[in-house]
Amino acid sequence: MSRMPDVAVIGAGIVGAACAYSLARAGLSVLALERDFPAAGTSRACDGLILCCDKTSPAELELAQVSAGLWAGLAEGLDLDFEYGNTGVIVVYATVEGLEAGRKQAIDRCGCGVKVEMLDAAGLLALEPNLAPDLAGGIYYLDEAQVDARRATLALLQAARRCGAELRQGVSVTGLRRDAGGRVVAALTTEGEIEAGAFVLAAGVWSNEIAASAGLQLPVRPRKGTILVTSAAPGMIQHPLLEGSYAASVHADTSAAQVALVAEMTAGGTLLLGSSREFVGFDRSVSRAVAQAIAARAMRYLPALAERNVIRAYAGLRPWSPDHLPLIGPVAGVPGLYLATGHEGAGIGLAPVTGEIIARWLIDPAYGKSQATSGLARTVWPGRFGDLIQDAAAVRAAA
Amino acid sequence: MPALETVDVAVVGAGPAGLAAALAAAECGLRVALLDERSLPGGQYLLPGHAHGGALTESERLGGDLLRRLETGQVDWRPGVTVWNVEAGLTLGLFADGRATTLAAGAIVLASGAREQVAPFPGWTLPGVMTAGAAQLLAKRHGVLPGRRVLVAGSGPLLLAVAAKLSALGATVVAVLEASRPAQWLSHAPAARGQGGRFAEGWRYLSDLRKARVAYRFGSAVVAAQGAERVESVTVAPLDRAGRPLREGRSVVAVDALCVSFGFTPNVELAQLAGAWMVFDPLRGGWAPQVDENLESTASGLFVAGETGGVGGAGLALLTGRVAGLAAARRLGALSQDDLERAKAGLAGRRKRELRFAGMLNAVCAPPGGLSEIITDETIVCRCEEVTAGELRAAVREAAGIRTLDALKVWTRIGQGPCQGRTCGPIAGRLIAAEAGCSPEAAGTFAVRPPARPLPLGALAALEAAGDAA
Ligand SMILES: Cc1cc2nc3c(=O)[nH]c(=O)nc-3n(C[C@H](O)[C@H](O)[C@H](O)COP(=O)(O)OP(=O)(O)OC[C@H]3O[C@@H](n4cnc5c(N)ncnc54)[C@H](O)[C@@H]3O)c2cc1C
Ligand SMILES: Cc1cc2nc3c(=O)[nH]c(=O)nc-3n(C[C@H](O)[C@H](O)[C@H](O)COP(=O)(O)OP(=O)(O)OC[C@H]3O[C@@H](n4cnc5c(N)ncnc54)[C@H](O)[C@@H]3O)c2cc1C
Repeated sequence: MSRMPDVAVIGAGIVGAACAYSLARAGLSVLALERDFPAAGTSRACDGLILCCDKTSPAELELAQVSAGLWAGLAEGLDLDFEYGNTGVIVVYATVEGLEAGRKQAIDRCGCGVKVEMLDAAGLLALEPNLAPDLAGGIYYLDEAQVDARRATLALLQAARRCGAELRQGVSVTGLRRDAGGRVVAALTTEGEIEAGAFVLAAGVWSNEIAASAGLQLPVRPRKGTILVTSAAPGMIQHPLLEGSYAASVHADTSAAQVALVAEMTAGGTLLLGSSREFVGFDRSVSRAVAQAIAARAMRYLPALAERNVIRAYAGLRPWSPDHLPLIGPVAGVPGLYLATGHEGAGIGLAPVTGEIIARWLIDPAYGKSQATSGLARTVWPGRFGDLIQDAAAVRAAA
Repeated sequence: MPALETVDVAVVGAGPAGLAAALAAAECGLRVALLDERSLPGGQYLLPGHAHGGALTESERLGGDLLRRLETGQVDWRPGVTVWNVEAGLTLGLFADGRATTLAAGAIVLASGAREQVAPFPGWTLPGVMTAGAAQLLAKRHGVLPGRRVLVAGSGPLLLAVAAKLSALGATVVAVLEASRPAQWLSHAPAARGQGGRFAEGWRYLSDLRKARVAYRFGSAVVAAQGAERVESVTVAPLDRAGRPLREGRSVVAVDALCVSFGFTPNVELAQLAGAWMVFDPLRGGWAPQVDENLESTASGLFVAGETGGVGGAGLALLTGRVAGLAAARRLGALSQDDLERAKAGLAGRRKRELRFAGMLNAVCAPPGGLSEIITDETIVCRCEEVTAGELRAAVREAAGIRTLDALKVWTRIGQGPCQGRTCGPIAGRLIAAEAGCSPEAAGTFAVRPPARPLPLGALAALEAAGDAA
């Protein structure tokens, strides 16, 4: 790229990749800067579910639905196959009370256009014969989908590059430089200063340190999740399965490790068994206790797995935000900087809509203020957390 | 909280190194648990029936002594135990008889040995193609031959031993192909000083083979195996100095089995789990834990013995095992520093000689870099997930920045099957190096996380309960 790009995207996880794609497709010249390699962060250490069934507010649900629609289009449109499948998801309940509560929520979601089918115990076993026989029932969310998150990241990046975007790997952004007017004009990197017309910060849980260099304090924290991988178990499950308490575990912001079963089958036939939620800083090691807790949840629901081998485990860091919604859009008082982070446990699902929102902001700065946007941009507007400028002096010094 | 079982020293692996370490620590009065997933002690070397007809080698004699001492019960010997986790706090995860448990130790000695290295070529996944070590095991343990017309190829002394064994059992060994050249060995000649016993052994194999009219050829390798259901013939090519196969002088040989191996590389997964710092050292056979003079890794209390610390044969394994066992005893206060130093000084001369010789073998026997050329795009590199060389090369090209195994794992499914990249890791590392023009060291290793060995889900789920019962 010889001349200064219109926009530089910092981070090439699934969110950065989606932003690069939407921006490049909108005709902007894009430079993506990645510290390691694409999907080196959380987007390689996760499940790949595109969910509506865990969304608790209409605004959050709308965001998820728009994004799910975009994923379906990308599955058709992108060249690289990323193992998109839309078999739906079954939420399983061990107790009658749990099932009842789940049904009430499901009915609310139906009002927003989500398609569900209620399953009693027999109906559940008919669809998933390997489930424990003593479960109360389930709710089949028919439109849910799944992707291979790594390949999806690569597919978005490949498509972005075909639209002219450039990717530079092995370049770490160490800070942001602002001009006298406070505008972010350059990224300080391990390969020198890189100027761009605007910057999209999509570095997942690592966004904070970069933002801090511009005097901003983001409310994003790493929330670790662990997944066990079994040897190939073809036919063990027909749909991705979620334990009924999953949504509750998302919203329980305690420091104690939360574990709720998520079972997903990859195209290769291995089962991904998750997952946990804990606040333990940036530690990505797999702990024995958490691995054991996940195994125990899996045994409760899928006892047929007893003799299946666990062949691997991994852990990733979800970019948690206080209201479980991402931060997407400009930052008041810091022109030239756009955030695309804080997607927590939904960054795979929400990546395409993130890219679209970011692209609209960059094309039309009035986007978020216009009435026609039906609140999508406002739902995720970083300004909802108030003034993110933590250290005005540092901001001036940086300038 | 479940009661955690505790011992003074836990030794992983009951090969020559583990045996020596366990007995050395027990001599100092410590409670030692010796764990091995196999049902018999002795590791790869002290197999029943290992001795070739004649006299025992010195290592076999010394190893035999250790095996007899094991029977006296000084050490808590636990066969059939697979170690699947090592935590930096010196707690092991064990699996035996369908149960997962934990074992805490004051010191751990890792002596989990090494594994054979292979270099793929088109057709290497055909039935009838196996590693030389596997053929050796089949022959020795079960008296089974891999085939009737066998070609043995690769590098290193194991080829001779295997060919001699197969020939003695009645197979027709078509030829033994050694990829290295005599000049390479001569350049290391000083390292061979004091290794008369080894050369006598090698000479015996060679003369046995000559009697059986087996051709032994330097500087050539198998570049392809052909066959419908199983291997029927192999293509053999001479190599240039860089190990690149030449076009001229190729021949096709009819066989019904092919045994290949290119030396060994340390089994380091357990050390990696404990967070020990790894270094790439061609003289040690590839990636190995960094250790100090007491063989302690950078993970405090975790000692490394035998081929886990560097490929070097049974003699070196016995020596390093003893040092690691004594150093572990020193850590626990069961041996004085003076006594440790004295013991080390007594072994130092032999250790140095063995190390020098091992360095030569590892340097000369490593798979030649030039051999990556014969790997066609269709050749499978990761057998578990059936990832081809073409996919890996495409990823390196497409990603224009992939230099590491870790990154390759994002682009392809390499290393994600049951073996977790133990076989394909080094192969893919060399392939990246050839493709991207960097060193295999820069390619790094796959990340290792628990369980390091496949572990049944039910056993993992019941882990605490199992600890309770213990
Ligand atoms: C166990 C688990 C299960 C999950 N399951 C799901 C699921 O089923 N569905 C779903 O939608 N979501 C799921 N998630 C959440 C999802 O994985 C994340 O929300 C998503 O991956 C975040 O993507 P990202 O691009 O923001 O971050 P990342 O993927 O972490 O990308 C950030 C990138 O920035 C780079 N970077 C960091 N610092 C710098 C720097 N200084 N300079 C340049 N580059 C830098 C990093 O190397 C990285 O590549 C799960 C997460 C976990 C942990
Ligand atoms: C076919 C063959 C022929 C050989 N011939 C000779 C020769 O003639 N002369 C010579 O000097 N050397 C020879 N060697 C090399 C010799 O065998 C090794 O140098 C020696 O065995 C190394 O000893 P060690 O104790 O380090 O490892 P090993 O003997 O390999 O022992 C390692 C032990 O660790 C156990 N183990 C590994 N991982 C785990 C785990 N996770 N949990 C539980 N247990 C585990 C294994 O089961 C094994 O028993 C030969 C090797 C082979 C394969």
